[in-house]
Amino acid sequence: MMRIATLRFGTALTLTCTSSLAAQEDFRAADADRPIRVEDAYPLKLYEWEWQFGSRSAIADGGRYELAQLFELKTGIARNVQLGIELHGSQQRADGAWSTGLEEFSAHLFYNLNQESRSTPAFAVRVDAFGPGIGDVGREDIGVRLRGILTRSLGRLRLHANGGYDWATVADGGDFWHGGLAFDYPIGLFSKALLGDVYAEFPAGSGDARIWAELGTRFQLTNSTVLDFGITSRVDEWTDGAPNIGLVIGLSRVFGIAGLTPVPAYPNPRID
Amino acid sequence: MTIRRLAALVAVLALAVSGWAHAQVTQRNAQFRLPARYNFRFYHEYPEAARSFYAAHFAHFSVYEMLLDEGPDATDAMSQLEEQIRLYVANPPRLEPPAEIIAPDWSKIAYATGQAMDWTHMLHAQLYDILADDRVQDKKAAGERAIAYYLSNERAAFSTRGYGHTFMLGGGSWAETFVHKYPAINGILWAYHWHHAAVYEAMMEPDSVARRAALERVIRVFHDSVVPNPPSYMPLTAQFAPRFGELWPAAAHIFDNLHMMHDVVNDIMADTRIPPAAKAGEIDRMLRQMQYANQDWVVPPPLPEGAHDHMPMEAMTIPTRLPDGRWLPQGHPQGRRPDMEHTMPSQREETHRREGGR
Repeated sequence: MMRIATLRFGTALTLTCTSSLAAQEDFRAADADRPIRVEDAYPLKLYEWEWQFGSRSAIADGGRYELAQLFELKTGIARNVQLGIELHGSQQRADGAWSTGLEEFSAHLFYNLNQESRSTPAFAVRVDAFGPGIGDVGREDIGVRLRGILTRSLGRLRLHANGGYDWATVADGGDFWHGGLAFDYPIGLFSKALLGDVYAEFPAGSGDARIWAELGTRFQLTNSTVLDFGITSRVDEWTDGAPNIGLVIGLSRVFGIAGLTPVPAYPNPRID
Repeated sequence: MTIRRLAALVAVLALAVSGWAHAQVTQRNAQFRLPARYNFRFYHEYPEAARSFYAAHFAHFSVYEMLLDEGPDATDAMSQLEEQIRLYVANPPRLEPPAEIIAPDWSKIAYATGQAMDWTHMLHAQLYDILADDRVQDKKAAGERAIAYYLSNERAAFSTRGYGHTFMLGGGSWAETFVHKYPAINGILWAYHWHHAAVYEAMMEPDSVARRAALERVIRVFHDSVVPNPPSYMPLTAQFAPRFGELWPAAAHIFDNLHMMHDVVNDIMADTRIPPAAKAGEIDRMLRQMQYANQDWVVPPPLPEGAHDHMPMEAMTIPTRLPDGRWLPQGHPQGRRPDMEHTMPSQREETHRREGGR
């Protein structure tokens, strides 16, 4: 049933993306998970739509293997405001047995407070709501994430800081704080960027922190399409010389939907 | 406990956001292009012509960034930049360079102006797309729809009024600073303003074969003749693209005002009398004067005595083909004046001439 729904969703996206295209300068956008976890403070443009699909794998010590997929659709619903929905699929192998399912679905609202000035970084806030998943790897209960985002540029180098709090039930591991620092830098001027981050999650109660270090690139393939690729590692699991290394790869495309883009009548403006 | 904590955080956040929204901050306010089947048609059909503009966008924003970072007297740095621009003129990039990467610091002080320029470059591209797409039956209506959408973003749209050269020559004491200080780069920029208009006129040809031939001629003339010997006045669109100006007169004025704003920013950034801290305010002041949102109450400044509100035809003789096939370059004293019918004869007209008017 889930597979049919996913197929329908994918078909709808494909039809949508081929029905109308629009330009983007998206190769340097630091979108969450594409390929690093830290994101920048800028949302999609008003009336802009974007779908993105990505996959993240991780090989850990002891034969543990994880594969995660992200499917996201988002749009600029108002000036400086972005709304998105995501599906997170997951396959995990531990002790020789595979578990698979829909890890969770989520929706987010993202609001950018300002454009960066010489004295002030750009700020944004983001709220995510998570719903229970399906299958052995699925989330048990609903959860909420609140995140503050900051972007500061120094010449062409951009620095990003994310920090926030996740509310989750004990069944889903309990509350935790999260935060990260990242950079992006364009390679040349026109179509490639290098990105990297360090990201951590700290349990609100007892428990060890989870820490990732990531490095990746984004390529502007066409005027509307971006390919991202990166490597990720769980730094806290670097035990006994067995680093947990994973690969991240994804594709995103921006588009517009003519029927959802209001166009006023030609005003016959003065030309004197 | 968790719910209380969440409620408290949300309340604090809401207060912070509310306070921020009322503070004097610049918001991004970015808007996406009008979705349409014709988008990128020009890029796909005539890639050489589409890409030929990218060096101009690089040049404009690089000049701003350099004058901000190096100061108004940046002769050596500007010479190096000129070399780089000429490289891009000869070998344009595959994709359009984003302004915020070319001019990250300038974008911080004049974000609204940069956004208005980018938004208008989007209209430039869409009108090229419409003219390039033979599936668009009613090009005038499609263009007016694109213009209406462009104007709906009032804060980023330039005026549809025909201000000519008024603001760049009479807008402030900074007028003409850049052209006198950096004539070589200014020449490249004005050559590109000619190029924009000439490409529009080439795209007015009725079919793709004629359009391709006309575009090839425009690009050849641009490289061989206009860039080496650029116009001595800023070209106005309708002077070089009369058919385009007749089809969409509002767009022709929008593009002239965009080009004038490019010059105004050059002048303000290059003027040593304007302290660095005052440049952003002066740019914003001029942007407000030229915005579509304010055009009903704005009174354009008077031109200085002896100045023209359009490019005098004698200021630019156009590339002229000799009977033996060679070209007299731009500005050659024996060249013709820029009447578009002679500058850009359509392929049909050329064929007609070749066949002796039969």
